[in-house]
Amino acid sequence: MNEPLLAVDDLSLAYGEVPALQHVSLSVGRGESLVIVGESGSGKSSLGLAVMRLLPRTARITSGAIRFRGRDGAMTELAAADAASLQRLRGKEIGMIFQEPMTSLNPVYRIGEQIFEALRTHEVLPRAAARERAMALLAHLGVPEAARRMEAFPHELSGGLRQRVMIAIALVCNPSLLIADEPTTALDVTIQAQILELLKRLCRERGMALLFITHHFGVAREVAQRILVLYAGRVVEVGPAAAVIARPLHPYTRALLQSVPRLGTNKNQTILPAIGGAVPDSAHLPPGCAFAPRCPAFVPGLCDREPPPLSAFGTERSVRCFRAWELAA
Amino acid sequence: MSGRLLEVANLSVRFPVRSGLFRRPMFLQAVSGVSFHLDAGEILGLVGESGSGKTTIGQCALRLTEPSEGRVLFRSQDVFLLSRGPLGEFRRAAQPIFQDPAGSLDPRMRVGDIIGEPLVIHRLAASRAALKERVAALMEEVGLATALAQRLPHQLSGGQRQRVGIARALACDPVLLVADEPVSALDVSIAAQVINLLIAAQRRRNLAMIVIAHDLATVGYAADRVMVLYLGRVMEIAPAREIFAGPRHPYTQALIAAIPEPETGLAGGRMLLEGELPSPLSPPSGCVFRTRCRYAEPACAEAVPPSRELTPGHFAACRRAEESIVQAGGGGRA
Repeated sequence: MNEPLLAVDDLSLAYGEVPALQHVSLSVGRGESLVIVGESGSGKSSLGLAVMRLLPRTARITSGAIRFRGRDGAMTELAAADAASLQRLRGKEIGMIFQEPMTSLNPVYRIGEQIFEALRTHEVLPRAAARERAMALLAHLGVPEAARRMEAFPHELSGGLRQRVMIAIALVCNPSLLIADEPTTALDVTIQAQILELLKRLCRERGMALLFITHHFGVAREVAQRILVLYAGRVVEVGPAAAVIARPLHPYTRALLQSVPRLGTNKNQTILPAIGGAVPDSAHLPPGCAFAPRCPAFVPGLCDREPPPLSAFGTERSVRCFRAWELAA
Repeated sequence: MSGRLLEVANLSVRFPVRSGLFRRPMFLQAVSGVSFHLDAGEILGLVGESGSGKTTIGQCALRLTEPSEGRVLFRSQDVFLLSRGPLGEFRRAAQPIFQDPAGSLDPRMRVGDIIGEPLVIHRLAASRAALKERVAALMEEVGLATALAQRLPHQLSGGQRQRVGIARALACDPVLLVADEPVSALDVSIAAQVINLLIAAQRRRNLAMIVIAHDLATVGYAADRVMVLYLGRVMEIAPAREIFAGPRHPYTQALIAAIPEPETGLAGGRMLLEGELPSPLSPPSGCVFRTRCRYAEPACAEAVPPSRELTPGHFAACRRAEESIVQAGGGGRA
């Protein structure tokens, strides 16, 4: 971890005048998995897109740096990189998969062509060899009858198979970092379990780092070594996955964890502790802590003046709350 | 709990589809031989993955989809045979709540008019003033500020829109609600508010409810009884706490094992289901789950296993339901 693969430093991002991310810093080590947890409007998808520099034209990076260490050991500043150097990294050293594979795959090309298109963009390889590699990868990813599926069009596959094809496209060049934005949200739960197992196995086998984006703490726990919680564009908590879930430091993390029904709980035994109110509008954030209006630990005069800083809590954790120490005691 | 409100008997729904080279007409069997009942004041949860038939069953219960076979009895009357007058009364008494409130609310109507419209249609408001008063009371019941009555749906947040959908469903004092994925389009922190709101309204008004969702934990939390569906057939029905503590059907066990919990992650790789859902155009013979079942044996292909009552109120459609619980080491996670 002394030499991170990806280091995001003080990144701020806005759509027009509306801030999406404010002073976000994070790092992902080689082979490490970091999960970003957040609700809609938290900026979690913008963060993934910023690393890939796939943001829409209306988005502006207003401060900060995104540094990525390439296979050759050189650091690239992605936030300022030109099209040619981005092209060299995207798909080759950084892969990305999305929530809905149907909209990411090209409906008029066969599966096989879409996989070796990714491969041949980055490597000089005879067609037959590219085909061979694509097919071997599909088989390795648990696609039955890989040879036949290579000839299929995306609409002929189930959601789970389509997501495996997306993973194949992302991994065919052996990237050292995979960004996965809610890759299992559109899938059925038994298929989700398969895909999560697959991603974990691939990270292990290839020493690949994972930046995984989700709204679901259960999914986060399954793949994460560390968890980073975003709220209204700011990091509110970072730490080792087990610790964040067992002993959340930020009142938002705690409230969000409690508001999800657990298997086997029932209304006749417990009341679901819901969080009141709604996520604030990014264009009109409250002056102090963004969670203050919904926070059970809110203190007037303390939490509503200025945003609390993100402060270290022990050696491995950070939290953005004035009262974290008092509440943890 | 006072008496049987809804009785669904041997319900089957087939949809004609055309596919393949010669556009051969085929039938998609969405629901096969489903039977269940619902008592007044009871919440029944329907869970299953895509293609399980859960939405179609909910639509049949509201007489929004015509079954190919079977009956839906509401207060002992077949809802598909109701004449005009009693049908109007059924439409008032049985109300839907939809998944996506943005898609189910008229974008050009104001919130107050959306909530009041059922009262106008069923002529339940004596005057304009009475209507306004009723709408205000409904908005208060679902936690919406009355000032929002003048807003249009797009001016509301997702959680507020779902509250409008619930207020509209409650407007005519129904006795049955069918909520199809009522919280799956909402943010995590908003979903809990809406679940609590539905349960509070259900208790206050002693409503019967069918809650349909793919999320077993949410359904298990809200429901009194849970029905697990796979490829259009009922795999298991049991009281909510028993479904988690002692699931008897191998599919229910696998479904529970596939849910990642924040504290523990997935229960264990060995229970993971392999393969994909078979096509509903050509479901497997015998038990529809046998192609993915770790306990399947040749006999499972021969006949559809009947639903058997294993303990009072706990039914499972599996030939080996007694054995599976031993082999799965209890199977439950609660």
